[in-house]
Formats: sequence, structure tokens, C-alpha cells
Amino acid sequence: MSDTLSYDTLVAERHQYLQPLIAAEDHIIGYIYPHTPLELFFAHQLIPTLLWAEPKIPGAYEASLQTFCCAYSRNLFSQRAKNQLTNLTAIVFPGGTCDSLQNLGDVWQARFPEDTLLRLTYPVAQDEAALTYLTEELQNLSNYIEVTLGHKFSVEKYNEAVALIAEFRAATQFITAARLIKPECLSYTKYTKLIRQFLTVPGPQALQLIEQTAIEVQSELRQEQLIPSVEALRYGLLQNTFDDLTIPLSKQGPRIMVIGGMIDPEGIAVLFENAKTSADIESVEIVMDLLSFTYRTVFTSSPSLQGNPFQELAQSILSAPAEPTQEGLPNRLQFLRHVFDQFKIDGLIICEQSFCDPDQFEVPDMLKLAEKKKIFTVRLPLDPEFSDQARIEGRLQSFLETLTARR
Amino acid sequence: MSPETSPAPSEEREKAYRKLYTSKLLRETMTLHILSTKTASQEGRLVWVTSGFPVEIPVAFNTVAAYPEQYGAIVGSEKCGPLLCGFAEELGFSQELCSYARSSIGSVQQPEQSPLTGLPKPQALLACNNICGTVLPWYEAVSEMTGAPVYLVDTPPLEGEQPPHHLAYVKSNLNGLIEFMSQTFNHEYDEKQLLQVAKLSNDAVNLWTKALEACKNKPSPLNCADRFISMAPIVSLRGTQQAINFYETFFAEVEERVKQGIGAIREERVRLLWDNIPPWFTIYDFFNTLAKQGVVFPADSYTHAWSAAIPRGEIIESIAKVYSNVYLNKGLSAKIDKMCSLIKDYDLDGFVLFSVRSCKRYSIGQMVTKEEITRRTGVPGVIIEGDMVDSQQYNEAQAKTRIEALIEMIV
Repeated sequence: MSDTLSYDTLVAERHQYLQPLIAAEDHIIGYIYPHTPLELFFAHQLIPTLLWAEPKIPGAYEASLQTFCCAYSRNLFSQRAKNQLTNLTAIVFPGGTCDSLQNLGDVWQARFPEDTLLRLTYPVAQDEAALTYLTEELQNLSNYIEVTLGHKFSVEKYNEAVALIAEFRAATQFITAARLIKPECLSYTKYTKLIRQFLTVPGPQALQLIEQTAIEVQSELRQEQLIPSVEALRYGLLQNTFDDLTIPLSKQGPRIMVIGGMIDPEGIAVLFENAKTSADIESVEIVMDLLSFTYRTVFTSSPSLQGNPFQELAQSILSAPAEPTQEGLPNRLQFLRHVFDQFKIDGLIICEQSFCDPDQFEVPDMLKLAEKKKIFTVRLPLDPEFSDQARIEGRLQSFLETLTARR
Repeated sequence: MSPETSPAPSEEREKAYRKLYTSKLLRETMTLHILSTKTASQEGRLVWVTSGFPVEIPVAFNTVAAYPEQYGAIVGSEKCGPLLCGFAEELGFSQELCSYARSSIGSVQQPEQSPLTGLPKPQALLACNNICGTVLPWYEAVSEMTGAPVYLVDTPPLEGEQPPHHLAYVKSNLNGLIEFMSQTFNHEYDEKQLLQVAKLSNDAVNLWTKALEACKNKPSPLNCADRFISMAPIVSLRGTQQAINFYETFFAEVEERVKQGIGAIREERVRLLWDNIPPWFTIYDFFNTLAKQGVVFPADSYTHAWSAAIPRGEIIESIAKVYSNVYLNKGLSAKIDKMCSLIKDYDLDGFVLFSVRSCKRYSIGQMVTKEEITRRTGVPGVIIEGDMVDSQQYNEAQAKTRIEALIEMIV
């Protein structure tokens, strides 16, 4: 039996990723919400980094936030109160996505007036009017950055960033599609680590690791003549037209899917691997997730270099798939129905982050759908620190054992 | 002496608070409204709307509006919140979600076990997120259960003044609503009708606002429970003649109380501000117990939310402005400003912030609010914790202890 993986170790690695930037005194901007326009910040010579929950942070929010504020918000606030976010030039808060994050921005500003906070408010709709609104919001944010931080918008940097993020998405989309067909081509642990590394420090180095992995996966699948299927699936997922594709899925045993929101996918990978090890089951694998920082980020369309950059960015953001902070539950359920059918999902792990309204509201309808499709499910109530790791792994272990026995 | 201010019956004399005579008319008005929602549902013209929805538009389309939040208040006051929330939890809805949403979903699932057998079946669900982000997923969940389509009027949160692109976006949403209503109810849009409804709405809002402002007087003619109960028509009958009829009588009673120097409570010693939705399951006990100690609440942040009239100008733009600028949609500083001005204008001695677990938009930030209000006004405040519907989340003894400590600081 191999050693148990630790979430703390992963988090320590992320600090390492950031060290070169801190040493070089780069301007780092922290962000929270998955659909933050990274390209815009690069255009202003800021390096965006996705913030994460620190497992070992002592609670320091109690004098400012109630316990029913979402757990992710409370953790971030505690980090700031304990002076652990000192290397950031600014933080960008989302507006209009959920009430906890909306109010967190206000409380943060009141408690830490010396911090530079940026706010990008998102529409809930996805129509032409929403596009116009978000375009203007992005333009205003850009102007504000120029005035507040003195960083001008550089077209050259913007173009480079669009290419960087588009290449990240293309390579990761390919790997995602490849894993759906043949999950054994790359472990979920490695898959999530590659994405997380890029989102922590989005740059050529992290991109190279992903592209190298994509080449290796491609090489393996080419021998089995699976490349056309992978490409067709990747395109189908991007266009949401995969429901009538014929997909040659690998026969390997139970296919697991994970759904949830702003849960750390790398953390889920740790829990899953440990549960697998405890259950002594090798064949089971997470073939897909619909989490915010993996699928929903990766399968968002990249902006085109033609046209107004702010409009293109707005278009990109509004294309995010399966996003519960936007309207359209019937569409998301239809998408999930196709996913269940097409990808022969056997088991479903539903992650519920404590006090996360957008995700928690959708769980019952997803459960109902899974039940209809005779998919075995487990619900994991989580906090972003995975503080109850042993109990959750025990729950997952039981789930995997029962699922395997049923099969 | 008018009948409204005739001496109270002997059994009332001993009580620390005075009952409004208009409460009988309120019951009749709301009973008729409930009956009209049942008829409308049968006729295929019932909409469910959120409390901050621009209801003037669906009313102009000859539909009748029912309010799940108001139904939540009934569920709370009937003390069956935990039961109905439990039905939703059995379906898989987390106990961490809003109790208005959970009790509403629970009543759709088990109408026969719900007060009034639940709200009648809607033909459309109309949500506006100017009050919180929960309303959309809540209504989408109800839509999955009832088959009624959802229309969202999206009003992204504002910081400061409403910029032109925000106004244009909300206007576009309202125009979309008109199209949605025309198609769903096969009814042509008539601007004259909307203008007439808007006028009725404003007339009711003005009467309501005058009644609220009368509480600046000492003694205050209304206490918190009076306002929370009497706000029912301004929420659910805005834009109709019935609302005006009720508030004319209501305001006459309030005016008479002011003229006669009659307070909502017998002996007014401490004047406090209330923040947030009340604990519906104990609304009378809570405020009347404090009334016995001479504590009155002449103002609150909640019922004042219905005191903004639709301004003059192009009607859709005017509606877009008034419904975007609800203070819950304008961030913490707007709320603090509003509460500070209430404390000053109503000459209040302190404030109680009710931290409602269900209502993140309203409640998160109250710790900052408490410090800032005291810094700016010099009056003390206290935070009590609980929920508006789910009594399992409320600790009465703890709330009382905290408020008593506040009163000691003031008296």
C-alpha cells in the first residue's frame, strides 16, 4: 500500500511555484472567481494568480464575517487578517456571482482599506445585452487599473496573453477529451496538478509542461488510432454538440465523474487516490469533472484577436459552460444528461462546499437525474481546507467499494 | 373622537402595546388577495414574484402576483418552518440554504401539509436579483418542480451611482420581460395601462412612506411588528387600488395616533432601530416582550425598502432606475448610510442587527456595520443571531440577553 497523499503538501508546492515571481518583484494580482479575464491583467503587466484556501490558517474572520459566509471566503479573509497575502499588488473580487463574495469585497475594503481591490461585476444573463454590459465593465476595469496602479493596457502584452491562455486551453481540452476516451492515459492527479500549476503561475513554463504531456498522450493514443475521436470529442464539448458522437470509450472499470463548484480539483484528486488505496481498488478512475477550476475554465472559449478586446473577453467569459452563477438550469441539466449518456458514467461524486449557494441549489436536480440514469452517487460536504480529510476519504472508500461490488 | 381612536377594550388596557384597528382591514384585504391568487391560478394568470420585483409590469399585463417570501412569513408565523424546510431537505436541498427557499420548495412538494395548502400553482416565475442572488436558483428549482418558466430581471450590484451601461442593461431586461409576458400570457403590452399601474403603485408607496415617517414622532405610532405585518399590501398589492384603499385607512389611524399622542406601546423609554427580516415565528412575542420594558422600534431598514416611488420620465427607464437602486443592491456603504440617517431622523438610542443565517446579502457585513454606525452616530448596537423562518436556528435566550445588555447601556 502506498503512502497517503496530503493536501498540505500540494499547497506547499504552490508557494514554491510563486517564489520566482515574488523574488523578481513582479506585480501579482490575486483572483478568486474562475472566469476572471487573465488576459486583461497580463495586458496591464500584472500576473494573475488563482488564490487558494490555506489548510493550516487559524480562523481570523470571526470579528468580521459570520460562519454562514461561504467557507472559501472565510479562509481567504483569515489569510489576509494573518498577513499571508502580502505579495499581492491587488485582488480582484467578482460582483454579481454570489452573495458571499459580493459582500466579502465590501467587508474586505472596510477592514483593509490599504489594499487595492478591483471589482468586476458579471451579468447573470448571457444575451446580447449582457455582452454589451460586460464589455463596458471590462473597459471600466481596465481604465481603473490604469488610473489606480499606473499600468497601461499594452496591445502587445494582450496579444501574447491571449495566445498563452488559448494554448493552455487547447492542450488541456485535448487531454480532457483523451482522458474521457482512455482515462488511463493520464491520472486525474497529474491532470489536476498541471492545470493548478498553470492557474497559479500562468506562463510559458507551466504551459510547456501541459503541452509536453499532451504530446505524450497524443503519441499513446495515435498508436490506437484514437486521435480523430479525441479531436471530434474536444470540438463537440466546446460546441456542446457531443451528444450524437460515436465515442470509443476504454473498457476499463468504473467511470467516475465529479461535480461541484469552486472546489480545489487537486484536493479532490488527493482524497480520491487515498480512498482508492484504502479500498485497494486500482481500476476505478475519475474520467471527468465539471468543477470551476478545471472543466468550466478549460472549456471556456478563448477570445479572438480580431475585434474589440473587451468585447472579445466578455464573449469569452459568457461562453463558460455549466456555470451555475449564470441563468439556465434546464440547459445545464440537459448537458449533464448528455454527459451521463455519452460517457457511460457509473459513479458520481457531488462536492458541496460549505455555504456555497449556487452549487448547493443544483444538487437535488443533479441527484434526481443521476438516480434516473441509475448512476451511483455520493455527496461530499466539504470545506476548502479539506479539514475533515480522513472522514471524507472513509466516505469515498465506502462509495468505491460499493460501486465496484455492484458492478 | 373617531372610531379609530376610541378607547381600547378593557382587556387591552393592561397590555404594553396597542393593537391597530386597521389589522381587521388588513386581514380582509389579504384574505381577498389570497382568494384572487387562487382564481388567477385557475384562470392561467398567476405569477410568483420576488419581493423586489418590478411588479408594475406583470400587473399591467392583468396577471396576479403571489409572493413566496410573503408566504415564507406565513410559514414562519405559523411555526411550521422546520417542517416545510425539512421537506426540501428530504429532496436534497442543503440545510445551509435560505429558509424562504427551502420552505417554499417544501410547500410545493407537500402542499397538503402546508399553510393554506401552499401558494397556488404559478404560470410564470418572475425573479429580480436586486435583493439577493438566491432568488434565481430558488425559482429555477421551483420551475423544475412546477414546469412554470422563469424570467430573471438581472440588476447587477451597483457601487455608487448607476452608470449608463448598467441602466441600459436593466432596461433591456425589462423590455425582455414585456416580451416574455406578452408571449406567455398572450396579452398585448399597453403603455397606458403600465402608466396607470405605476401611478397606483406610487400612490400606495407614498401613503406607506408617510406612515413610516410618522414614526419620527414621540411616542412612535407604530412598532416594528406593526410595520412588518402592515407591509403585506405594499409588497403584494403594489399597483392596485386595493393597496391604496388599505393604506388610506392605515395612514388615517397612524395620523390619528400622532394627533392624540398615542404611541404603539404604552410607555416609550428606549427607541431602537431594527435591521433585517424579523424572526417571523416569534414576531409578536419578541417585540411585545420588549415593549413591556418600554422598548419601541420606530424604524427598521427592511420595511423602508418599499418607500421608493417610480420617478417621472420614460416609464421603463424610471422603473429600471428605481429597482436597480434598492439599497441591498448598492453595497455595504449604502446600507450603513441609510441606517445612520434613520438613527438621526428618528432620534433613536441604539440599534439591533438581526444576523439572519438565511440571508447572506442582508447579513454578511453586519459586524462592520455595527462598528461603523456606532462610530458615526455614537449610539450603541447589538447583533443577535437566528433565522426568519427556521426556528431551529434561533436561540431566544441568547437574543434576549444581548438586547437586555444593550438596554442597560442606554437606560
